[in-house]
Order: sequence, then structure tokens, then C-alpha cells
Amino acid sequence: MKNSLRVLRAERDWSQADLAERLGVSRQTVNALETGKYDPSLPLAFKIAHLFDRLIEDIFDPEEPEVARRRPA
Amino acid sequence: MKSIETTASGASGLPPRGARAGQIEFTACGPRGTLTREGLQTSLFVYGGAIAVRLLVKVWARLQARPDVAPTTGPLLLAGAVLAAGFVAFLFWQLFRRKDYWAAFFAGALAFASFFRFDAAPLAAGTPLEKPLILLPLLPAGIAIAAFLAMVRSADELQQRILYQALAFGFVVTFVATLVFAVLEDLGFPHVSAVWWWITLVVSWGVGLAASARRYR
Repeated sequence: MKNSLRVLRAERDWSQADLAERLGVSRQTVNALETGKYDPSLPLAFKIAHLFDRLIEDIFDPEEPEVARRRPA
Repeated sequence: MKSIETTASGASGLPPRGARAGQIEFTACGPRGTLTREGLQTSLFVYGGAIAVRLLVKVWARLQARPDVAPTTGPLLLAGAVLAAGFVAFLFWQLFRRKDYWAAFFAGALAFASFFRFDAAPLAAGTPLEKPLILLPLLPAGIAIAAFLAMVRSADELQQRILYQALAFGFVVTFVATLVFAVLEDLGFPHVSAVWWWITLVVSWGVGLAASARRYR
């Protein structure tokens, strides 16, 4: 799943380790999230959204046309 | 815009800023996610302490059968063994307090290995220490198990997924190997010691860890 995690992190000048510490996960997990190799669980997705003060949908893009079409304007 | 930190395998070739110097990043371990150089050093000290305990106890056990030995030698050797064991216990306590579970697991495995073929118990037959000496190698094994369980409990969601995938792989490989060797034994091949099943499980688990972690890099 595409996401803008790396951009959001860079805006705050955080390292992956900094972000990992704030989310309570390992740096490996942050790296996997940013490269799209791993999709977070719902609690972790909410934690990320809360940390960056964004909606989950604003950070994560499911890349599926069906889901994108159903997304409210 | 400031440059974005590269990943562990990023094109820059530089280690990520998040990785501190002296850390070896393992795929799935507790809250730190790393085996620090400090943890590795502590593990090696644990190994040295366990070797000291083994040697002192073995020498003490051998001297039991010799009447010409000074009466204070035995208690001194035992006191030395108890001190070495206390030092090892202190090091384990430090590792658990720092939540360095990978290092604690590694140290427990090393300490258990140092008691491989520990034959002091037969030498101490008839003494009150015979049974405790038989059970002595189980202590580091128990600590390694406790460290492993603590590591699994404290791992984050991705680390737990990697761990379980690796364990599943190790289980399947060991199960198949067990069946194959059972058939080969029936066909006349030499018997394989049970120790090799654990070695197969550990090695296949390690391979599974590496393969599983690689998928998420």
C-alpha cells in the first residue's frame, strides 16, 4: 500500500528511529511501512494518523480503483 | 527540501541515521530491534563465567576422590564456582533489566553450550551436590527460553509476523527431516542423536528468519 509516511517524516526532520520510537515499533517496521512492504494493523494506522494529525486515508492509499472510486469527495 | 533518510539498503550505501554505531540489526527482537555491541560483550562475559563455573566444579568433583588434597581446597573451589555463578546471574539480570532479550537469549544459549557433556555429576556421586549438578545445565537453558518468550512478547507486529513465519518454516523443515531420517534408519542408516533435531530446528529457524525478514526490506 502506498503511503506518504516518508514525506511526513522528512517534514518533521525525524529519522526512522525517531519515528519508530514515537510509534512504539522497531526501525525495521518503519522502514517496511515506508517502502510499502508491510501494511500496518488498524491500531498502528490510527497511531500514525494521530501522530501526524491526519486522516488514515490521507496517509495511506490502497491503490485499488474500486476503493478509490467509493471514497467520499 | 532536506534529503530523506535512506533505508537500510538504500542507494546511498550509508547506514541509516537511526542505526547507532556498534549495533547489529537483527530481524526480529524485542523493543530495541538490535543486538548491541554492549549486549554481545555481556554475552561473551556470561560464556566466560559459565566456563569458569564448569571448570571449577569439575576440578572440585575430581578432587573428591583424592585423599591427599588439602581440606580447604574443595570449599575454595566451590566458593569460586558460586562467585562465578553469581557473576553470571548478575550479568543476566542486567540484560533483562535493559530488555536486551536477544543478547540474553544468545548468552543463555552460549552458557548452555558451555555445559555440553558436563560430566561432573557422576564424579560427585554420593555427595549432596550430585543432583544439583545434574540439573545445572538446565538453568541457562531456562534463561534462554525465558529470554526468547520475553522477546516474542515485546516484539512489535511486524517482528512477531517474521518470528512466527520463521518458526513455521523451522517446524516444517524439522518435521520433514525427522520423517526422512526415521525412514532411513529403518533402511539401515546409522541412528541420529536427538540433539541434531534441535540443531535442525534452530538452523532452519535462522534460515526462516533471514528469508522472512528479507521480504520486508
